[in-house]
Amino acid sequence: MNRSKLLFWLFLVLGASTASAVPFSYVYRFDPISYFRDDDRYLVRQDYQFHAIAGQIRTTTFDGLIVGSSLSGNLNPRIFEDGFHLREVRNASAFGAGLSDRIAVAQLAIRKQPSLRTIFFEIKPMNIEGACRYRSSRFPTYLFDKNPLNDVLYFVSADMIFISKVKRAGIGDFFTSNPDQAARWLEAHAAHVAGAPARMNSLIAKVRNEGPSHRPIDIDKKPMSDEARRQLDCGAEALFQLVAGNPTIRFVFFEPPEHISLVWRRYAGAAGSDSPAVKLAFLRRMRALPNFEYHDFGDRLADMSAKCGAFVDETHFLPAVGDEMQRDIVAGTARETEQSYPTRFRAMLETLDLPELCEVEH
Amino acid sequence: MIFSSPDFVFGFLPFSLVLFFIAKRLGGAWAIGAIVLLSSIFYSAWDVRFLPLLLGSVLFNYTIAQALDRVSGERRRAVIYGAAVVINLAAICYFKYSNFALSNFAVLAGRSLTPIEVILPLGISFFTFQNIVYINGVWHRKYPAGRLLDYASCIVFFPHLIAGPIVLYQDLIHQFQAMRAGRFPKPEYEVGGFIFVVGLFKKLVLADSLAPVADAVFSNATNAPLLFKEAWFGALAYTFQIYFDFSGYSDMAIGLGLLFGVRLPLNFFSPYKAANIIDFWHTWHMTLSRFLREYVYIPLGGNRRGRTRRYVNLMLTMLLGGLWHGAGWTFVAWGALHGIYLCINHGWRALEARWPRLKPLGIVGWPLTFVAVVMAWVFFRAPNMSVAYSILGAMTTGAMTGPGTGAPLREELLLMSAAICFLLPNTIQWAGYDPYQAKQPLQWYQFRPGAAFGFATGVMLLASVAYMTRISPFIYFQF
Repeated sequence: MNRSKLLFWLFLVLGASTASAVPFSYVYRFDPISYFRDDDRYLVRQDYQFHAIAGQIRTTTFDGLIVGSSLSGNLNPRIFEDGFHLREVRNASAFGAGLSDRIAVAQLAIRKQPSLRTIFFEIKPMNIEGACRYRSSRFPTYLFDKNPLNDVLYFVSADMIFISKVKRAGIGDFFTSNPDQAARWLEAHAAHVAGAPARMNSLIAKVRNEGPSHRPIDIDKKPMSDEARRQLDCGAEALFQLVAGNPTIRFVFFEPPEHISLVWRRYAGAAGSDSPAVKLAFLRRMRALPNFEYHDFGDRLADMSAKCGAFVDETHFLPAVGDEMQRDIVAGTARETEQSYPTRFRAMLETLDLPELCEVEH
Repeated sequence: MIFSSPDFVFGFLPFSLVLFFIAKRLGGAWAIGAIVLLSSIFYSAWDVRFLPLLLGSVLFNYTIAQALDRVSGERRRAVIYGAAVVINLAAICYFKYSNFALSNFAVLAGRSLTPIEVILPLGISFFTFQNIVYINGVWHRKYPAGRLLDYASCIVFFPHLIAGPIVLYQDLIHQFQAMRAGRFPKPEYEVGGFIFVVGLFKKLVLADSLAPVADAVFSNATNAPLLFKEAWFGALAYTFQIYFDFSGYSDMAIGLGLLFGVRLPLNFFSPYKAANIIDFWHTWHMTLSRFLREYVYIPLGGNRRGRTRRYVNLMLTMLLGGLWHGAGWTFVAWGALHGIYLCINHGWRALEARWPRLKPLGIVGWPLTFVAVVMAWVFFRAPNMSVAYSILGAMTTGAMTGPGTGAPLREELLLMSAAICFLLPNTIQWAGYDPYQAKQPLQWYQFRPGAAFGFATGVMLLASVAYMTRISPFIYFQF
């Protein structure tokens, strides 16, 4: 190798090392997501929830974990700690988390937390169906998989340089000292919450105008579409592997409630759905696993789905509803099996009706 | 595994270079075998289920080529060739166009049809046409069928396998034949590494930073009325994104080729500096333009059968070029628009030849060409025609003020992209890369091994690594 070529390679290494020294020392100093040392400041920015979760899972200790999407963002870890006799429960929910994102979160927690005993896993039948299709664009895969190169990427990642900069400047809405805030979102949407009843009224009115397109589904008779079957096979299999592969961990699956207009559209209105058949097939697939349980709030019409002012949009409910759901999970009153589900579903269909419009407070 | 992923840059690439280096020591046939093996591993990393399709297509076309070599009667040869082309096209039609055809049939017949569950095998548009070109050459007796391993290495060579450049058999075969004979070209690790890193930087730092701007505008187009500025910024962001994405990929392919001692053809040469649409197609996706010219336009008659027929041929060629990119009416519209542009450009040239006084008007050529290209990209990027119409509507008659969609516009990023595209030399000029190895004197800014370029390459590599955490596939992977 001649001198100029040697210089080229030497200076390439020098250039890369020099350029990496700055971000490396910067990220090392601020460690913005608590990737390798615990900190009393937690990243709460919505865009970086997955990042924050990856850091918390690595550096904090817990024996219970809530894994979910924004629907679980307001769940209260203390209710599960008391109800399930756990020492420390963390909420690892993130905006837009799809099923495969949630599985990755659970897998990281299982790898990094030897004392983990219980995972509270948010699920919706339609998630199982769409599991293999959806991955959140915000999901930082490198923080969750096993590749050893990822530790290097962490120190030079443009994202981390940016968050370190923010942490250094102390910008308020990025960091909090309360770890429970990391998954929460309601405070940031106060205006949205204030307009909830009016929005729900317009939704109910809209669904009323559409009217029912067919009578409620009989799950025993309505076959699943081929597409739903394929997706179910993939999603249910991934969950089966997760639960079966970790027999010492208790998996508490819960299906959160959704607004009555959505329930109506799904089961009586224009949208139609494979969800009941998918859910039944999923419960069947998981029935042999002793560490699996399913708590169903999809049929709680009167006291949750149709309750006036309980929702801020079609799917997001207020913390009071979440608290009630958590207490029922603890009590086991909404537990579902493949035997109980068809009966409960039929009972729900019999009472399914759109409620009167909510009264809007001025 | 994509070129811009850490797994490729820090895992597969060093591993493959070491394996190739060892294989070279063992002999030419080993080196070629190593290339085929490495390319198969690379392809399998995406989806191993389609490796038999790739290798099967190579084997099938090689068998056909051998038959064409052996059979003497021209009619029989033509039948064999025709049948092989039909089979190749049937495969691509099934994987790429069956659902498009079904959905259009359903609309025409007024029925609802369930789409077929088909996964598009990566790179099928590229390797199918390369196979057809190969048997076409054998049929025309331009070259013999050759050896299977040499041919396989031409088709599956991983730097160009997934998204081009569209190499023709004749581009590579003599290089692999020389390799087999033990005549290895002098390694060009420095310039190859430099071109690869520049491509990596274009993809990860530039293209992927522009993507959210374009994505936000194109996905919000039907939710709320776009402002004039938003529509233009979205279209411009995509214009620069697709250039940095695809030319970055092509740079990486060329750089990788050099690391293995293989020279791939150029694919981009500052297309946004083009003064007219004909020049644009001489500098944008140059290997596709060459393919369309030699294997569609000229066989259709080219410009040999009068002016009208020439325009018809141009339109047909560009429509097919549009369809090659994807099974959708937006791609057809994009191709049609470029066909119209080319017809207008050729018409204008004819007018200029007749009335030389029109020549000074050529001064508006560059901005006019650029705007025309930007507007055509709207069809290319839009998920459907109605989104394309709403964006084009906002670009022409959109409101100047109002709430808009709130899409992030990133003015500074667009300005920087424009400066890079319009003012700076392109990667090929910068690297002094000439696939045909004609010696040209180096300009002051051109690559030469040494401390300065080494340092710059190192910094660009690190900047690219900083963005490797947001892996996004190359736009041309979907084609």
